[in-house]
Amino acid sequence: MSENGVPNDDMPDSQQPPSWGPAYHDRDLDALLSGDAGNIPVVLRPVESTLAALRAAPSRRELSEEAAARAAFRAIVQRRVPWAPPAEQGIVTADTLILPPAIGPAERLLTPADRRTPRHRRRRGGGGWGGHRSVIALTSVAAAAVIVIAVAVTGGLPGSVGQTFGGHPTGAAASSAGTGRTQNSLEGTGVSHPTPPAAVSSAGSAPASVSPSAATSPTTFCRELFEPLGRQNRTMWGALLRQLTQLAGGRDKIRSYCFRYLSSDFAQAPGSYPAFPFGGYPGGPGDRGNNGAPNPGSGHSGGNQSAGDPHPGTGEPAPSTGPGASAADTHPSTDTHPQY
Amino acid sequence: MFAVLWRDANPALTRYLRVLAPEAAEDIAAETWVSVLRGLVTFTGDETSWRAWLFTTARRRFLDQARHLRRHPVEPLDDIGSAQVPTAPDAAQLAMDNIATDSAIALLSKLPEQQAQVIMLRVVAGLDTDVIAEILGTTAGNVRVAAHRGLRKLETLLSAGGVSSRAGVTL
Repeated sequence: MSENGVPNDDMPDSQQPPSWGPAYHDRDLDALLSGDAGNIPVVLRPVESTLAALRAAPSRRELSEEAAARAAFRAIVQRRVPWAPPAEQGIVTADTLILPPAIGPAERLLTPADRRTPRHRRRRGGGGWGGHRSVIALTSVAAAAVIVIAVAVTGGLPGSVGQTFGGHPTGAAASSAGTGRTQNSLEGTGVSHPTPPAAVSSAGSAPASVSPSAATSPTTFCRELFEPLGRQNRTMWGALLRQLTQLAGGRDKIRSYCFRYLSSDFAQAPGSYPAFPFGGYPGGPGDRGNNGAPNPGSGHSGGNQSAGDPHPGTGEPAPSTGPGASAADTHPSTDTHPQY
Repeated sequence: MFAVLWRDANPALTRYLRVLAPEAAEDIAAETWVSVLRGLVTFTGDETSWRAWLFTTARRRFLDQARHLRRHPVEPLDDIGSAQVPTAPDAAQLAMDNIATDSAIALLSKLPEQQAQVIMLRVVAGLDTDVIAEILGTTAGNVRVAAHRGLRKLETLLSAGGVSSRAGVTL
């Protein structure tokens, strides 16, 4: 008994009425969320029913747009249109304006123009035609520089280029004599005897680096070397001298080397050939001969003029070249380039 | 294949979006499917990953739509008086009268957004706490707390309509 006359165990305060405490616990809520509603409190029955309604099978209305979704799927997969209007629903009339859904910028179908790297992120000169263009430009500049240097060293443009731009007759002769294909088409290349074709010359032992006009023959070199000095500058003459020095095997052998090629010329016009520049040859040093005579387009001053060639400047071979023709025709080394 | 996926996921997706945006749920669902289809060929994962991806996309589309509405608010042309607004029975009463999906969705729409999202993703999408936390950008503990609070709120709403009772004691 307590002081109030009530036994202590008569009204225990450990027992509370059901409405006083929490009606459910967290584990009951977890059971609701997981769908295991077997032992949930009664108070949560309405909530359980609500959640069950959310899990209910789809209604017919919710599946009514399947055809439209399929059409959109096909359209998207085939990449034809970003979004197909729901024409299957029957609610779209001809007067209905169908606007595509507001798709975010990141969700748009990217066009090739969109896929390009933004301008501020593109690499300059990296890959593509930009790199090729730069390489081509550099190559062109390098080629132009080489041409300019070659002109500066040799003092003139070689071959037909020199004839075109500089009017140099010896260049024209060298070019036409070296290329049998163009020999007949050039005027003023009065070569009195057949010159070896380019193939023969290039097949010889003369290296390609010997001269800028590697296709020319030793005959041409020798003729150009013996060209009157008034018609060629010393720079070009020096280049020819170096080339013939290499071909002949030495500077002192140039005369004998060229004599073999030019013997026919000497035979037909012995007195008219210009002087050998560095002396010792008939005519002597400083002997300009008839170097002042006009000789338009001819490789040398002899040959055609003295022979009365009816086809001046055509470079026609031996038949009309007069007495020296036989020597020229039988010249052995025009067809077989000497091996040095 | 697409039809199977759509039939399986679209009802849950629509219900989820109807809780978040009742007015634009269908549009957002369509945008969600468009977004999903573009990346479907590159998707790898199991069913849970697929559902997580789908509802993540749906939530992002919902956020985009909400952002768009904030920038371009829609104003009615004519003001409608409160007397002209069609009234509906109380959501809780509807839920008790007819436990239908629409009523349940309407009831969940009364919950705070995060609580409603958690309950829908857990119940409708069938995702676990960790995945939901990843989708919502929060922790699993917060997801669990939000779910419990949402259920308590739901129970309170139902009880406020005189539906529920506590062990037979009418409040």
